[in-house]
Amino acid sequence: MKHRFPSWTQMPKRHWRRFYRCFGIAWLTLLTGLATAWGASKPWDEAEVVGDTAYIQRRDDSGWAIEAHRPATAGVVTAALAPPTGTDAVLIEARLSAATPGSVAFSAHEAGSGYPLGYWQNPLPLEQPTPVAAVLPLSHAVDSLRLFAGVHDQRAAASLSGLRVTFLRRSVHYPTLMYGAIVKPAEPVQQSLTASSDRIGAVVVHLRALGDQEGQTPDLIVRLVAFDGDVAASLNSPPVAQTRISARSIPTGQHGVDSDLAIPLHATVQRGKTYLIEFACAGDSLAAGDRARPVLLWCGPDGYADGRLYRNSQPTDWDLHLEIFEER
Amino acid sequence: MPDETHGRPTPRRRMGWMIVSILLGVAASAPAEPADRPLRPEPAPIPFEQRQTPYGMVYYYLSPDESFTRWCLGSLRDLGATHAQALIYWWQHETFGGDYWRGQYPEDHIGEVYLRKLDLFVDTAHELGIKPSFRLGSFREWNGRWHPVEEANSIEAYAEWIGRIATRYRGRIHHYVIGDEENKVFTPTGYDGSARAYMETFLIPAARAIRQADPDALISACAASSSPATDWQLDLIRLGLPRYADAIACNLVYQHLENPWEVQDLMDRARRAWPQVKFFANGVGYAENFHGLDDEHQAAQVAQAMFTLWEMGWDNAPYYLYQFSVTADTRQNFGIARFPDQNQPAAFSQAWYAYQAIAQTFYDRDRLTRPDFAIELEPADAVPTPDGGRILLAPSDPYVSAYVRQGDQLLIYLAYRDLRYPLRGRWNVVVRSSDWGRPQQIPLREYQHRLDLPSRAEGDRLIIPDILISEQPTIITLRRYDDAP
Repeated sequence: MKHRFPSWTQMPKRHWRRFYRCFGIAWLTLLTGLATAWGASKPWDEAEVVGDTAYIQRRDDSGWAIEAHRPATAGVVTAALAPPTGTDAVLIEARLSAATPGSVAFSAHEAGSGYPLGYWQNPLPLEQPTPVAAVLPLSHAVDSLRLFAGVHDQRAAASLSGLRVTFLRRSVHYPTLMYGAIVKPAEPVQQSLTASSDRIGAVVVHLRALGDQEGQTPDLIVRLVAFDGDVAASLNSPPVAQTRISARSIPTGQHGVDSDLAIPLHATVQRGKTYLIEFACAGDSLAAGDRARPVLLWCGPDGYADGRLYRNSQPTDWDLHLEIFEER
Repeated sequence: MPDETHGRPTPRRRMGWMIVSILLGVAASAPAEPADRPLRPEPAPIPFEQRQTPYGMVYYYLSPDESFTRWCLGSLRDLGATHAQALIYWWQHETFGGDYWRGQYPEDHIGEVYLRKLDLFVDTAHELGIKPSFRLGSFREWNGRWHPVEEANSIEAYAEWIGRIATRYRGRIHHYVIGDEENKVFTPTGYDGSARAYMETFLIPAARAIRQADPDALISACAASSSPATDWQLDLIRLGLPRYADAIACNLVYQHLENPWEVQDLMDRARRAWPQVKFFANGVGYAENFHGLDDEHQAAQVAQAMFTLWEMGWDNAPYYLYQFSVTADTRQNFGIARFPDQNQPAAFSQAWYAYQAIAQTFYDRDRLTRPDFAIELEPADAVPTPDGGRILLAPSDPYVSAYVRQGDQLLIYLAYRDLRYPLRGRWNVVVRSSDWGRPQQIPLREYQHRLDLPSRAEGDRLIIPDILISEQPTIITLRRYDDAP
C-alpha cells in the first residue's frame, strides 16, 4: 500500500533523505552529461579551417556549410588531442544535411606527422538533417592526434553541425558475413553481450534494407537492456540506452552498397554483467499501408563467446556481425 | 590590321601553346630512368592454353548454334577465363514421354538435341583451350524428384544417367560439381540439409558413377549456401569426402572477399583435415549491376573478387554471371556483358574489362614470387594547418600486394578493399629497391595498354608519386634493370 503525505512538510525524514539522494544523483548525472557533452564538442568548437577556405563557411548555428563546385579539400581540423591510454578508435558524431554521398569525410591523424590513422566518408546521400556517427578504428596507437571534418578531394555540398568526439577502445570484433538476420515489423532481433567496462560507447553492425523500390525502409529502434536470461522480461525493463536509427542511414539495394553502421550508445553499464541489444522496426516511421522493407543484419556462426543472437525471443547458435567499443 | 582577337590567342598561337604544353607535359611525365641502365623486356605472357588460373564463368548458354557457342566461349577466352561451368540436367536430355518442359523450353532444346548442345560446348571449349566443367542438377528443381516423370525417382537411376554422361565425355571434363547448396533443408522430402544426408543421398552415388566412368575427372562437393559454411564443409570431410571427391566448393559473394578471414579460415581448417583439398565454386562475385555498361562500382567489385580468389589460391572460380539478365528469385542483374541479338551487337561492361585486366595479368600464381624488398605507401595529399603543421588526407590502410614474374616484371596491386562504399586516396608508392624502373599503370579498361608513370630515384628507393588508389584496383608494372643482380 502506498503512503500519501498530506503535504511536503509532513514527509518523514527518511523520505527526505531518499529524496535528497535521488535528487543529488540526478543532478550529478545531468552535470556529468553536460560536462561530457561539452568535453565532446569542445575540440570542434576550437577547430580551425583548413584547405580551400572559399568552399567552407561558418553558419550561425555553429555548424559549417560546404559547397565545392570542383574537387576540393576544405574542412576544420582540431588542435592536438591526447587520447586516454588504450584508445584504439574514435567516435565522431554530427548532423549532416544536404549532403551528397562522400561529401563529408571524418579523419584522424598523428598530431606530429599528420599521417592518417582512420578515415570515414558518408556513404549515403542525406538531404534532410540526419544524425550520423562514424567509428574510426585507429591504424596504430598514438599519444596525440588531430581530427578533420570536411570535404576531401570531392565536388560536394553538405551542411555539418553538432560535431562531437568520444575516444573508444574496441572490445569485440566479429566481422562475419555468413548469414543474415531479418528485422521486420513485430519481428525484432536481439543479441546478448557482456560488458567489459563500465561504459559502452558504441556498437557497429553491418546492415542493409532488402526489397524493391515499392517498399519503405523503417527507422530502427535500438535499445540496450539488462539481461537476466528471460528475453521478454528483460525487454520490459527500462532501457540502459535507447536510440533511433533513421531510415535515411540504412542503405537499400538502390544505393548499391552495404554499410557498417555505428550506433552511439554512451551507456553506463556494469562490468561483467550481461545485456541485450535489440533492433526493432519503429512502427511510427511507416505510414499506413506502407510495405516495410526488411532490414538484414549480417551475422554468422557462434563467434562471440559472451553472447548469442535471439530471434523471436529464442536463442540461436549465431552471433551478429558486431563490434563493441568501450568509452575511454 | 586591327587585332580582333581581343587579346585571346589566335589559332596559330593556340597551336604554339599547345605544342609547348604537350612538350612540357611529356618532359614532366617521362619516366626518370638513367639512359645508361637499359631495362629488361617485360616477360611474354604465358600462352592461354598453358595457364593455370581459377578464372571462369558460369555458363547458362548451351546452344545447338555453332556460331553463338563459338562467340560465347571465344569471348571467355578473350576475357582470360580458362574455365566454363555449364549446369546440366537429366530432365532436359531424357523426357520419358513427359511434357513438363512445354511452355518453358522450345521443342528443339529438349531431348537428344541436348547432347548435341553439350557436345558443341565441350568440343568448342577444348578447341579454344578452355576447360569445361559440369554442375549436376539436384532434386530441388522438381520438388524433390530427380526427374519429373521418371518412375523410380531413385538416385541410382540418376547416377546411371550421370555415368553415361561421364562416359560420353571421358577425359574431357575438368570437374563435376554435385548439386548446389545442398546444405539447405528441403521440407517436402524430409531432407534435413545435413552433411550426412547430402553424402548418403546424393554425393556418394553420383561421385561413384563419375569416377567409374571417368577416373581422371575431378569431383567437387556442392557449393554450400551461406558460404563458407565452415562447419558443414568440415563435417563432409569428417564423413569421408576425400574418398569420393577432390574438392569442396562455395558460392562466394564479393562481400565475403573484402575481408576474407572467414574464407581463409575455411581453407586453413579444410587443409589441416585434408591437405590435398581443392577449392571450387558454383558461382563467385555476384556483383550487382546498376548502371549498365558503365557501372564502375560493379567493375571494382568484380576485379577485387577475382583477384582475391586468385591470390588466396582458389582452384576454380566461375563468375556469376556472364550475361545481363535478371535473376528469377532476387530480381538482381549480376551480368557483365550484353549478348548480341538481332537489334544490337554485343557490348561489354566496365566489369568485364576489369575482370579481363585481372585475369590477363595475374595467373600461374605458383610461378610468381614475392619481392624480397618492401613496397611502402606515403600519403600524397597534404593539407597545411594554420599552426604550421599539416594533415595527410587519405583513407587509411589500402591493400598492397606485389609479385615478381620470371624475375623481370614487378607487379604491384593496390586497392581499398572496402567495397561497401567507394574510397579514394592519393599515395606515393615507394619501392625499396634500385633494381626496378619504368613504372607503368595497366589500365583496368585496357589491360594490354601501358601508361607511363612519373618516378624518381632517391638512393636505393624508387618513388612513384601521387598514385590514385580507389575501390578500382590500381595495377603498376615495373621492369628490372639489365644490370640488376
